[in-house]
Amino acid sequence: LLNMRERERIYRAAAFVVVLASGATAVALLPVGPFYPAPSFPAFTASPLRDGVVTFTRPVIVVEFDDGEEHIDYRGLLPAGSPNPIGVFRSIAAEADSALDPATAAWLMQRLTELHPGREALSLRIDWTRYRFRAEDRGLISAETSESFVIPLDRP
Amino acid sequence: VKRFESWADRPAVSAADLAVFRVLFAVTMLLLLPTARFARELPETGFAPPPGPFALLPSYPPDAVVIGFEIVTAAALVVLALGWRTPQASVASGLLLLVVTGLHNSFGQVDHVAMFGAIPVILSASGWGNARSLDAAQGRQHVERPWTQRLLALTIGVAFLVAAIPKIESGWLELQTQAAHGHLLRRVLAGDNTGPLGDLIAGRGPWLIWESLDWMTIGLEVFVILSVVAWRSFRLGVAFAAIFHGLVLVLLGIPFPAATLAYAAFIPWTRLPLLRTALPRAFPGPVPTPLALIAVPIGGAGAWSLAALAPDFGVIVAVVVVLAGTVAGAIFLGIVAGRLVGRVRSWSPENRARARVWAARIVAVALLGVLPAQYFLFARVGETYPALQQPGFSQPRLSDGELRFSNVPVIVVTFDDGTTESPSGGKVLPSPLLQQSVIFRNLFKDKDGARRPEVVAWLEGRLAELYPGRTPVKFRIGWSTIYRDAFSGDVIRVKERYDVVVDLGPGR
Repeated sequence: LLNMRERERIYRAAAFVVVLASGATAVALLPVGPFYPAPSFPAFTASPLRDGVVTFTRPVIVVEFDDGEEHIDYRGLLPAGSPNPIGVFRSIAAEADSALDPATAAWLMQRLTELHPGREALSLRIDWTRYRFRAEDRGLISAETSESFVIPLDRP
Repeated sequence: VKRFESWADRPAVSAADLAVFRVLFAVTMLLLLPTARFARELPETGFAPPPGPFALLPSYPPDAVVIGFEIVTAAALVVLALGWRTPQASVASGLLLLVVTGLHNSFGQVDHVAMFGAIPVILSASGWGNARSLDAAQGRQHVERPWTQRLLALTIGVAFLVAAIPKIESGWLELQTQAAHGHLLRRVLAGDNTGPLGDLIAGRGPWLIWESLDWMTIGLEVFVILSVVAWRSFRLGVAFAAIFHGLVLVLLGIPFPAATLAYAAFIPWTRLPLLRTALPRAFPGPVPTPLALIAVPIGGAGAWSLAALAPDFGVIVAVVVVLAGTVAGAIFLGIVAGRLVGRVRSWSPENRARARVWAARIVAVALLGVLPAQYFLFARVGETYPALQQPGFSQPRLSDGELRFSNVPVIVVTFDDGTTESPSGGKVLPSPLLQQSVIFRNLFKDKDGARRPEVVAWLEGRLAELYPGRTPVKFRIGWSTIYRDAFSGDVIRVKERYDVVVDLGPGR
């Protein structure tokens, strides 16, 4: 049986090993994604600026209402207090499986009804657009749609 | 082992300092209580927990469960602030904070706030409940374990290292990328939130300053883990880091209080000149038990209501925490700089020997600084020799079961009778030669080099030896990338990047 002092020594060593091991696990799993919870601070990987050109992808949302089309900001669709709006919106609508899921359509319908009372939304198009800007004068070089989803919002 | 134990057991601050930090931490966490409220208004399709225990959840928990966790977390933080059964309250509030922040992080984004939960879990064994607590008033003394302070410092260092590695891997140190500037520009151009100075300086300034910012960021992150070795260097590291978080706030508009709060654990609160007299008045003593019993539910529900009804309030508290940390870091560095200046001024002929030692140290550190400077040179002109560098093996060769061979010369020799041969690069070169592929590439990587008269003359001589009696008229190298199956070795595809053609023989 270990006495109290020996037990303390084991606890101390184990605690240091746990912290180092969790850091190693977080590093090992980086290719899969950020492990949570893990001792890690934000990484801000993959520089958007290379050779003087800034590149990033954002969704352009076009809603077809019963009285015409309208561009809306994807951030407006998210609930108040959403951290990192683009990350949250990507989790919902970056892949066809989730973007075209009926649950996503129902949520969009509900949000559009709240945001635009009195208007009927018929469909919503998400154009994932890859932007390229010059860093020096912030001039737009190109904006290309890499993927597009049309989500029908017809009422049942 | 003994050296490790003696190092680990050397405290940075006293248990009385940690007791002040405990109250500060718990009250701050109550004010910026993390919640997962926003997630309750998102569709189930967005539920994408990160790798880790939350990935085991089949779906997002029902609202009642999430709200329950949030309220109990707030109540546990009140208990921690009061210091009742402090070790248990610390572990409970830490684990609950990890659960709530884990749920918060389950919709495609990860706020790296595990430190919120790690702080109380680690310091639960520190004895931070032995003062300014109900435990102290009721005679419950807990074992003080100074090594928990070193463990928290190591956790901060590891967190920085885990952030630095993907930065380095993704090209932050490449001279073509100005990553910090890129993230700022992206936020500005995409219409995301930025700090008050963000829009003002995005797109301005010479690239070298922005590139230096990338290098300094990684330098700081690596320095913090190294600085854990001694309290003096660690305090320097976190002081710089606290200012760095302030810079991130004013540029990118991102308040990151989790780190700043952790640094506050290493402040000797009871020895600060301003607080030495103010503290006893601010914390007059343990709260009477009946009052504590009322404080827990009311404080917990109040903090949760504040977070639920005014989500932006937490952001304001986070900004205040980061700015306070920045000011504290700047004051600390100012004091250190003042002491250094004082030492320099106090040097006299009597302590020249000491000055010489310091001068030697400074020169040694400056020489160490030359080592990373090699990288700039390599990026511009290729690897120099001599240079202090181990073999890099920089390119990943195996990916998704495919082995990639880049810069493979696919050679076709055409003879005057129309026949062809395809020797390997190694066969063309006289063997044995070290690094045949590198030498072959240096000779034939571009047409200007390959068509130099001395190279052509040498090539004709080699081909005459290899193919006696035949007259080669053309030597074509298709510089290609070849992909092979990692298991069978079969060629999956060949991608020719460019070719170099050398005319040979009398007709050239």
